[in-house]
Amino acid sequence: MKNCKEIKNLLIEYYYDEIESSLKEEVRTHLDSCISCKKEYESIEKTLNHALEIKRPILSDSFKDDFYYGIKEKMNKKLLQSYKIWQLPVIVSICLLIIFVTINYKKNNIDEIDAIYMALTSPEISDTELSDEINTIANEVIIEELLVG
Amino acid sequence: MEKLVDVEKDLIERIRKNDESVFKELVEMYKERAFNIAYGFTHNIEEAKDIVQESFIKVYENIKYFKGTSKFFTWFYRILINLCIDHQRKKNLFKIVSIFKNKNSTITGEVVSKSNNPKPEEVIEKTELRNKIEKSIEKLSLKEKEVFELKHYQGLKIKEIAEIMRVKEGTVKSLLFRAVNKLQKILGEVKYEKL
Repeated sequence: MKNCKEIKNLLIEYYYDEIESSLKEEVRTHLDSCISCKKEYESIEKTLNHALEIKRPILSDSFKDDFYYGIKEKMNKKLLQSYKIWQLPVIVSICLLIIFVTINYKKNNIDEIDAIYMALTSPEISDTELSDEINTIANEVIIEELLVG
Repeated sequence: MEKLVDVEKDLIERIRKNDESVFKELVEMYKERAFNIAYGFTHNIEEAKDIVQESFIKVYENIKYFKGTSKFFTWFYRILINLCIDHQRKKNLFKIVSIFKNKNSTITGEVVSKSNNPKPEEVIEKTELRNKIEKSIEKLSLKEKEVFELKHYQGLKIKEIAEIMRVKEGTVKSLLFRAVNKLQKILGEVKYEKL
């Protein structure tokens, strides 16, 4: 047999009918004979019954119809935002690649010009050799430009 | 209940295959109950609507991770409750108090008096009581509010609530006990006999 404290701990489960049937019977019998526990139960019952009187808003038909379309709109917005986020690094990468290729190309051309200059100003090379050298370099430059063009 | 579980399994499989019409069906199945839960936290129609819509979006995005080890509604309610709690925390952090009420709301429904021709005094007393109950529920902690909402308004079993909250049944009982005791104390001044 349970005492009043143990019974009071079970009153809320008793109210919600979430109590084993054997315990349920014990609580019911106790409440029939104990005024204090009975008053406590009545207080719980009143509090919870009044809490149930707070009605929730009833959804109107137009609300119901718009609800799913609202979800679709939000999903589309999210998708668009994620697409924009991905676009930025791709654009930046492409720009960097173009800049890199341009710089590299110009650097290669400058190296060719330096080589020609060195050849022209070198005292050890004879006029004939210089002329041949210039012709060779000039031909190589022309061929390369034709290939790139 | 078994039939419902089979229907749910079928819906979930089809959503995974990007069947949009089925996703709409799932939204229709759960949206009203989800709205009631969210409204229980926010007491604001637009905020509740936003939270519920967000929860369905999360379901759609994460359905591939749902393993089926728990019931679908347990998983869904966990997502929903987490969003409600996040929302409440943000609200408490910024202490935003809404003083404007949306008079153009498409929602109808208030506390209805049981008598056909309620006396003005009855209406006022009922309104006062309702306000008092709402305020007292607001004073519950987030966990207590969560348990009370799921138990008292959604009628879930203690076992189901424990699954959703990922706690022991004893914890749920303890939180429920504390919530009801708090409400009793706060509402202790109300004279029930008049109503």
